[in-house]
Amino acid sequence: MGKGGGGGDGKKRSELQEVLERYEPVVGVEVHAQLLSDTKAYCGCSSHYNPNIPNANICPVCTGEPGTLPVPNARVVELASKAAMALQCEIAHEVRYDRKNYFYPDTPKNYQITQYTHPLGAGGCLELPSGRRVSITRLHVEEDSAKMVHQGSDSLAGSTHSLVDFNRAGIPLAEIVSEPDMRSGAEAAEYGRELQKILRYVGASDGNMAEGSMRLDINVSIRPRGEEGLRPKVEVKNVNSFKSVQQAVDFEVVRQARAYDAGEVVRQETRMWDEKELASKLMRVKEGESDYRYFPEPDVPPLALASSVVQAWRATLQELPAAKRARYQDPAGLNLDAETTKFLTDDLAVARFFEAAVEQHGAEPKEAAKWLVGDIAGHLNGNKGRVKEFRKIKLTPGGLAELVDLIGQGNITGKIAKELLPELLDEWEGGEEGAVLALVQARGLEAITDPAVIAALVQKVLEANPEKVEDFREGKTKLLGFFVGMVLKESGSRANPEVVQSLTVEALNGA
Amino acid sequence: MQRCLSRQQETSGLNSFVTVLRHAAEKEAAVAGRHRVMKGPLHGIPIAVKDNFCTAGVRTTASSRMLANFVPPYSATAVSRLEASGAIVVGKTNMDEFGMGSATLFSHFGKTINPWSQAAEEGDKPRLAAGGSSGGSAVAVATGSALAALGSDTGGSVRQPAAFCGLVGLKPTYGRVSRHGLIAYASSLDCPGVLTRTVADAALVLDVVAGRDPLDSTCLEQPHRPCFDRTMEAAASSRAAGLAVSLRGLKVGIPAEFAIQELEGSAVTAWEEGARLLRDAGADVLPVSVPSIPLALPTYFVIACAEASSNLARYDGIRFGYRASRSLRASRSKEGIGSANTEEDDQRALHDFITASRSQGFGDEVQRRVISGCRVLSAQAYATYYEKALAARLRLRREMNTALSHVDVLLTPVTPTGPFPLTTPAEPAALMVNDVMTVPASLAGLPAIAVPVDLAPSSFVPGLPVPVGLQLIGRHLCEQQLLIVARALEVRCNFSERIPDYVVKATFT
Ligand SMILES: [Zn+2]
Repeated sequence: MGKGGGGGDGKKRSELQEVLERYEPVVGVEVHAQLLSDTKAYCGCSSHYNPNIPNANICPVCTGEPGTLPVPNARVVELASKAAMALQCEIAHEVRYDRKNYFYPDTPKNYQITQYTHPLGAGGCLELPSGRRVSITRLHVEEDSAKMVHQGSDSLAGSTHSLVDFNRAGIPLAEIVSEPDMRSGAEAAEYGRELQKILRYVGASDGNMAEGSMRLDINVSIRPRGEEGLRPKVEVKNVNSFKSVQQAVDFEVVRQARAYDAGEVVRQETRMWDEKELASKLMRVKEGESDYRYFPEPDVPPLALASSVVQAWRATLQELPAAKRARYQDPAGLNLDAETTKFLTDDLAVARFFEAAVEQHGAEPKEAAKWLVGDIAGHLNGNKGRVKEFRKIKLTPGGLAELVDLIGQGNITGKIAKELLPELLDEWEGGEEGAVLALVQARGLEAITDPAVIAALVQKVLEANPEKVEDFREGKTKLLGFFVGMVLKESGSRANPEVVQSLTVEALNGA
Repeated sequence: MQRCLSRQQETSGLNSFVTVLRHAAEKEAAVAGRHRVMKGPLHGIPIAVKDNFCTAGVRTTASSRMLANFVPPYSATAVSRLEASGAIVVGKTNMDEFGMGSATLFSHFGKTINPWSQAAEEGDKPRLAAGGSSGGSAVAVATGSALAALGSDTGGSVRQPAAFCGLVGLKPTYGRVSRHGLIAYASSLDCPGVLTRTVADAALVLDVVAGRDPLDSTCLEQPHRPCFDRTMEAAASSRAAGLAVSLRGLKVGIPAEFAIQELEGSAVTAWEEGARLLRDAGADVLPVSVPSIPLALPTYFVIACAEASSNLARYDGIRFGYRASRSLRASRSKEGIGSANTEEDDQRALHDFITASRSQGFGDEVQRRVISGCRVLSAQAYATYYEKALAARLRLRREMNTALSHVDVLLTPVTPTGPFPLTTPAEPAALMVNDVMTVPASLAGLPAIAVPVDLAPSSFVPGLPVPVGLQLIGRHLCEQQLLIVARALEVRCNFSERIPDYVVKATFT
């Protein structure tokens, strides 16, 4: 169906560039994020389910048995409110639910409890790191549907039969709808990433796209540059990663441009993103608005949200990613560079670790950051260490602060610190203040600073390499590095490099 | 218990039960008899339960083909509370399918017959309707097959059959009794209610089932103030004691708008007589006005159908309930598995299947209301019908509450006419008029009670005496006061002494 971009990546890119010169993409994003409550939205079933055991977390309520009634989970309102506040939304004074009626086997009651006329949050905005301001139309809570497993096909079409797993039915979701404010695939992906970060920062959702706890639908239209107003938009579903978001938008932009160029119209339709073929495929054409016969949910009375409650929730909000980034880069404060800042603030766990090391344990910020960005990240991404997740490292913020301090004080060399690191990350059991130093001492790894000891080492190296000493004295001064390295090696990396340097120069130039 | 069970057998021709729990009831009665300690105030009392209350392990049909084989995995809160207080459920009673009707005519399990039409049995005189939708519950109590029955009242479904069968029918404040486990018809109106022979019995049963329930978020938080208290106990202890209770200081309002054209002469007489009796008891009786009453019926119809269309959507033949014989797989493979059938083709096949199941599983009246409900909620009709109905409901509620700020209770007829013959063609609009007196309290969520006050010759079957009831509507959550006034009316009418023997004794076979 999709007349895919064909050819190599480069060709595609230049084609996109050509299209972008003439057309402006207009992109809006709709996100469904699973809220991190322990139980489902309207019953007592656990929301932590095992995807391999279908229909384990179900009860008469979430399977819509006759006579059952939904009982709203207060935690859902709290989490969604926090997300809405973080997105600068106006919070409703009253939580109201509506029914959205449609027949489909993944919807046990054949209606979904959602919020239509009075969303929990409205009129917010999200400022992207790149500077684009994206308006948030609304944030509302709703319940997830069951999962359909189609046998013999990927979709209902063509399958022999379909199974329904109700574990997911009734899981609370926040639906976050943006205005069509983004102007490229890259911006749409950036919006997704920033939103994910915010949801994680406020603890509303784990935003895990691979596991489906954050799902994105994108609305794409294009218009000739300079044209006001919007042309028919195409909704693209099944976009399961931020990379795909960018690819799907770019694909649609080119596809729609070709259609317009060929004098065709772009229909308002729903398409599916095919990750393998890197193409969007037609799912259904929208014939006018579906009539969902929305009406106020009579089984759940409106719940007043006292401003004191809202205030209390607001007070618990973490510093948001944008504010954190600004603080980290503040020249009068931490004064970190943009790249380091991005690394530290992308994952709240890393940011918290960094802040604890600096604020509670007095670590030098730049040095602590350097370790986190460099060796610690390298260890987690490499294949030598055992621990792969930041959350699971054994090193504590206090431990990092001490390590940085020991290097700064000249108590250990940077080389020794690097050698100790894997152990500190994978299996360290210290924790008390001074534990790193104790470990260093127990292993006999303290730095050697005594000039007499180092001078002896220098002498030993010089004596072992008489020809090279001659060469040096005859003008091959580049050999200094060789001698310094040999001395350091001789010391087991423990000798203070500056002392080694000066004593080696002294010895080579003297006697 | 044995008397109830044999009455049930003797009157089986009236078709008041969908499911009889004879053996279970006998066994439980035997156990209850052996127990020295009372489980609760209803220890050993045989109770009938309308078949739209879920009963764990016992088929619950809502009198629909759709649920003819549905066995719920849990019990309704009202049922659990009855059982916990020692009551024994003797059976599940017939009703209009999903509560939609006023005569227990529209049941997959057949019509229910009013025991008051006994005398009409000879010859070809028509049999009378028991009222509905809780007709089976009413007949169960009227015949003595149970001492009390659980019903549900959406627009009068407890009060109207109570009036038709000469019983007390109590619809408490909306949210006073949990709806958990009550198969929904119209969520914002559905109200579990009680049918009994006396006001005191109704108070007793209400006290057992009322009160907050975490499983129903529309159930009210306020603690229930017991109604079967010392006053009620004293007033019910003897006729003399009952007559001694004075209503001095109490104000009774007579809303003029209830005096509609369709009101029968006997109903007018009973209404005037009721007002006189309450005045005799010491109450001030004064006229009040609720101007929106003429809008109540259409408002009710729009809201009830709208909610029903959504509540009944879950019966699609896929997970439970009736399933059309033409299988989904068959309709899908018709297109050819793996062939080029698109998402749309399969959607259509799925919808054909759901439509078939629903067309076959639901009766005509249910389909009519579901379709009406879908219509009023559709984008084109929402503003003209549904939104207007919500506004009218709000206005009516305000007016009723205003009237009730001037008086303590309202006194009105229950129905415009007495029980009509079952042979009357089931003309939906005509049947709907039966609810005209009862829907205002439903829309306003106020407690209301039907009390049998008199006998009058039937206007449908010449010479046949039929019961006439009056309705009292109370203030929000003021069931206690409502029941005291009801008892005062009851004791002065002395209706129970006037029930002919054949109603409770003769049998249909
Ligand atoms: Zn559940």
